[in-house]
Amino acid sequence: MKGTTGSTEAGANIATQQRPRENSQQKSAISRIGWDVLLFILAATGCFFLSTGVVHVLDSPDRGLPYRDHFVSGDNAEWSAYGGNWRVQSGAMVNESNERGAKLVTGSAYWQDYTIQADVALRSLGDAGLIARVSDPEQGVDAYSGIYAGLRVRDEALVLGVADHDWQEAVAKPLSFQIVPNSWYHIRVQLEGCKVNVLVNREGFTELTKLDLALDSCPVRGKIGLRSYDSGGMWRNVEVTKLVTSR
Amino acid sequence: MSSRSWISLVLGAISGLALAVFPAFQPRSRLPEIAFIPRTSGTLPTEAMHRGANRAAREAGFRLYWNAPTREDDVDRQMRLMSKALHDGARGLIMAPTNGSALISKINEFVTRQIPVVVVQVDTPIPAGPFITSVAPDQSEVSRLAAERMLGVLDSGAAVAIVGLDRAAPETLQRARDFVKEISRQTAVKIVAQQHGTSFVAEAEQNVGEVLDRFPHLGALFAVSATATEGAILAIQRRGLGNRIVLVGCDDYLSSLSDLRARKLDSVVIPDNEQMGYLAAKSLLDEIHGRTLPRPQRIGVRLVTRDSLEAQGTR
Repeated sequence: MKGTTGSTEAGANIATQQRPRENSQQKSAISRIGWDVLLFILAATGCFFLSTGVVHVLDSPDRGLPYRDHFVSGDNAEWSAYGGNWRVQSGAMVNESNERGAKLVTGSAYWQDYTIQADVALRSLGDAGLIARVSDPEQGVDAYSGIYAGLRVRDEALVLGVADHDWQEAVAKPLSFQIVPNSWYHIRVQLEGCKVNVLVNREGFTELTKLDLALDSCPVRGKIGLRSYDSGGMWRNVEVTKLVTSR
Repeated sequence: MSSRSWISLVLGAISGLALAVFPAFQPRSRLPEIAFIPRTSGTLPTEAMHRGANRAAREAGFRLYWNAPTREDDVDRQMRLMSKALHDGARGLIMAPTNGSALISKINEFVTRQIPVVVVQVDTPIPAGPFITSVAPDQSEVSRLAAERMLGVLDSGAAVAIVGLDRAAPETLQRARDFVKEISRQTAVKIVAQQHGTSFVAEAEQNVGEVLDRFPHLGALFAVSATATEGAILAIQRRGLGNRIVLVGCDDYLSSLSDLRARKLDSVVIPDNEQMGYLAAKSLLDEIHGRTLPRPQRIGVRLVTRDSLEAQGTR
């Protein structure tokens, strides 16, 4: 009995000694879990904001602006061709093909309000110019969404229209000068929302043809490009700058 | 740090990343799609067909995928576009074959998968059936109207040539054949030549030029396609024969109406292309919704002269 009593007491002592240890073990387990949860939350929050920041920078309408290509090197890897036969020659991008609706596209899909300008020369009797806010491009005559401004020989006009895998011509304004093949014309297209301002003049001449138009609907963002229709063409000094607006 | 803490850290990072990029990977809700692949696009007839088909697609809550080769004879490109439509899960196909016989296998790929096909502009290159039909202009009527016009304006004994016969475009052959039949009923005029055609205007001009040079006393030309009509105008104008040769063309091209007003051609036979696009899409969408594809349908055509243009105030 004594022995039994003694062992019971000893057991009770051990139990009383173990309880604080268990308590402290429980506490440390809880604190470990808390630490892990805290780490999880911190990591999740940190990574969320970091990724959001990266996505924000990548999707920024300012990324890559101003953009300039003077075609000084033969490297045109940043341009994607949709039809046509394109090559860099003497500081100009040349499309040797008369393929209808040949396009060369570059830039960011997130560019919104900007000014695109370049010198353009036609090589035959079709039309050629610049495309802006381009998305969903494919090989095909009007196979893209975007805005086109260009020079058209058939009616000697400055043409502006919207393509959305079809063609809605907004205006064809007769030019104050003649389109001469292989002569340079400077085209500037300024986009602010659906307000489009186009200006064109022949190199070495002072006469200007201007267009100011508010389109009913238009693509809101997209890349830029060079386009020709039923004519080869040459483009040089391509520049895209962010439009500083009052909005 | 314990391995459990590392796991928490990594899981947390992954969760944060997933939350941030999740919106970008959300699938876009897209309408079901039908594809329309004409011979080429960016021309007056194709844009009219596009408008009609788009209207029918919108009415049915469908999206219309529209693209075409940049040249009317680019069979390879049209095949690639058809493959793309098949791959992208188009529920039906409307097409104008660049070359009917070259595209039979590709068309069969759709038909064997029970994807309905409506051929426009020409009759279907394989027999019409439960999954294939056609909507095309009444070619005999095109020829009849052209013949009637010529017989009305030509002097007795006039020589007539037909230009623009292109084997890749079977409607040109049919128009020529029917025109010969119509004209042969009259002894007043005589068909002296039938010249082959092309889908290139410059080449068409050269072909017509050969006929004009070979038959200096030619009274009239029947151009059986839009390209042949454009080529004929250029060839006639270049030779200064505008006042002497009666040109009756087919199908509208970019400057057909202004050319009519400028008396560069006598008249042109034009199908109702918008109605053709609408009917083709409507038939296709009806089949998709469980109805049977109709038998091949014919679209009306009209003869447009400068007088009728002014009288009706057309465009």
